[in-house]
Amino acid sequence: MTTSLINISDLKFRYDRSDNWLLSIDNWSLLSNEHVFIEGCSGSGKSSFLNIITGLIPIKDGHISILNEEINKQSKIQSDRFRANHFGIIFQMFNLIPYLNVIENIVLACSFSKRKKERVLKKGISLNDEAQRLCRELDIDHSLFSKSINELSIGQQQRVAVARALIGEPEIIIADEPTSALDERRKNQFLELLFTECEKVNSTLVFVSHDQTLKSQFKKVYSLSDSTLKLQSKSNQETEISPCP
Amino acid sequence: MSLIQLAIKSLLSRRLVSILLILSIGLSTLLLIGIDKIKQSTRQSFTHSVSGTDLVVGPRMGDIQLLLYSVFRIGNPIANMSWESVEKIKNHSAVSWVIPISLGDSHRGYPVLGTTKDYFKYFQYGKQRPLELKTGTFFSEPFDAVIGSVVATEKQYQIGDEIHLSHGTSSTKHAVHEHKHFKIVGILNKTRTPVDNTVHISLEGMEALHIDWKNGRPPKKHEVMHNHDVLEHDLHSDEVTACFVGLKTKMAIFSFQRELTTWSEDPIFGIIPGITLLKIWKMVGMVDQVLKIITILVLVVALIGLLLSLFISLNHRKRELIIIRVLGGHPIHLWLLMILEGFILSILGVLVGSASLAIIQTWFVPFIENKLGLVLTVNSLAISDFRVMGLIIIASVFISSIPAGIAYKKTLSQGLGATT
Repeated sequence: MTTSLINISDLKFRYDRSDNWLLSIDNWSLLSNEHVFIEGCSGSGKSSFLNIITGLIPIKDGHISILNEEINKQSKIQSDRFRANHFGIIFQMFNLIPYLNVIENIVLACSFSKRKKERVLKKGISLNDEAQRLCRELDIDHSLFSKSINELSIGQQQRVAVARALIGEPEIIIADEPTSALDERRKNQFLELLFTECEKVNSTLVFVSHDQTLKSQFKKVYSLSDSTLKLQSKSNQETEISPCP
Repeated sequence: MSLIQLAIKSLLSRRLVSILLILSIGLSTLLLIGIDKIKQSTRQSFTHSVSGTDLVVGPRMGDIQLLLYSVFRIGNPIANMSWESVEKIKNHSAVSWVIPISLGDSHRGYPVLGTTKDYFKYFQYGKQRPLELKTGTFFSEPFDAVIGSVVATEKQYQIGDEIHLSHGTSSTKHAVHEHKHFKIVGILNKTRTPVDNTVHISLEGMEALHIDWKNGRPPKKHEVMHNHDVLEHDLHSDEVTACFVGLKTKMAIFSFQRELTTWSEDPIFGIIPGITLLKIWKMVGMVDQVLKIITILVLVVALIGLLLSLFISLNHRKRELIIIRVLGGHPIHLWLLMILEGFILSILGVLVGSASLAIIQTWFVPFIENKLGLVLTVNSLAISDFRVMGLIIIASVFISSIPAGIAYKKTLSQGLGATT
């Protein structure tokens, strides 16, 4: 049974120095275990949208409910804790900490989340064991576990970033332009891997990209334009390609 | 992974800068604590060196100079006082005892002090403690020597050993009184005063050393006298370098001191050790202040280095801090992370400083003691030292809080887009 995971209503957002609304979303919801693609040109507000739903940017107008929690009513500490507990985030540049090794980078996601830590420990294994298990699943060779991030290839770094997002089985995986540094073949491999892993842990995937070639692999595609999120029909997805300026 | 682990790993990734910062904080700690310790120790050593002596009487010159060479064996005497004056002082109704001393010679770098048996009877140090023998006896013959504990330990001398003394402070071969052998008859207990570094002989022994010298020159080969030749001669001294005087009553100190300056036959004067010491402290007080200011400046430079390093790293670590933030770290975590880095660096710096101080205590203080003739008691760390260390750590943490605050503010509103 699928339940509503994220509900947004009457959201209006603009930066202090701007006169125009960057985001104006009347109603938008996301069901659990869904994999959605959000496309939009640069400057359309994709990153701002992600920052808002992850609680990094507070909003003044509107309501956002995630896992039945009104995150716009949370204090800064509460929203940081909520993000740590319920989100797994994959960045555009994978963004791993260079002075930590592979396992340490993965385990770092549990450092700020008691919930993720408890979920791992409930399995009867340590955080390191879980990180190693994820690495094996993601085809990261054990000889790389203690290697510095700088010694890894782009593809390996990307898989470490996925493992970090997956550890502790968060309900929502946010992937912010994760394929922008990859060639076509690797993009598809990566997407396949991400789908498989999200399904394994029953995570909802919010995949944000301006790369329209990927959207055909998602059941639901939203386009962020004119400050709002619009659902594209399956037929539109294949035909309508609005070029970014 | 805890914030401390993260801070340690972050510092390790900037190993060179971290080591340099630790060294600079360590140096500041060493200077702040070390200089203060050496100052206290020097004062203690000076104050501890003589007690119960009401006046030090010597030829008229600078009072500080007289005190420095008579008590601390620092510098060289440039004039002597006559034996008649010593006798006159001894016979004065206000005087209880007199210890004449004769300086100017040395043994392998240690000063030689010619004196009478009264030295062992009346001379006191610390809290009016008399000199005591560790082993052997006090001298009774002209060629007997009683050595201080440091001389005995460092040169591994024992009772019965023969030694040769040198003319002046030089230890070159031609300056050694090689035809006069002195026998060690006694070793004094440790006093932690210049007495420990001194070879004591009788005034007759001192006279015997120079009996064949003419006009300050060593004897020619055929004029050389040996121990047995010397003993046939009158070994009475006509002059001594100075004398320590004990009065029957303290009330007489100033009047007797005044009276000494009126003696016209021999230009001598008397100094009160405590007052002259105060004069020395007043003189070195300025140097003290300058040293303190320099030390504080060194600390300020070290702290600015810490601040700069954190500021520079802040720019390099912008992405790292945002990753932590996006992973759920609150800006307070980032603030704490940077504060922790400053804290760890300062703790390690303070430890390096303390360890260096211990090394200096072990290796360097004996060297200073030998070179300057000072006996330094550089005590182990005291509460005041821990206070200084605490202040250094607090200052470092405070300095770290500036870039930490900036990191807090900057990352408060930054999110995913800022990581690219």
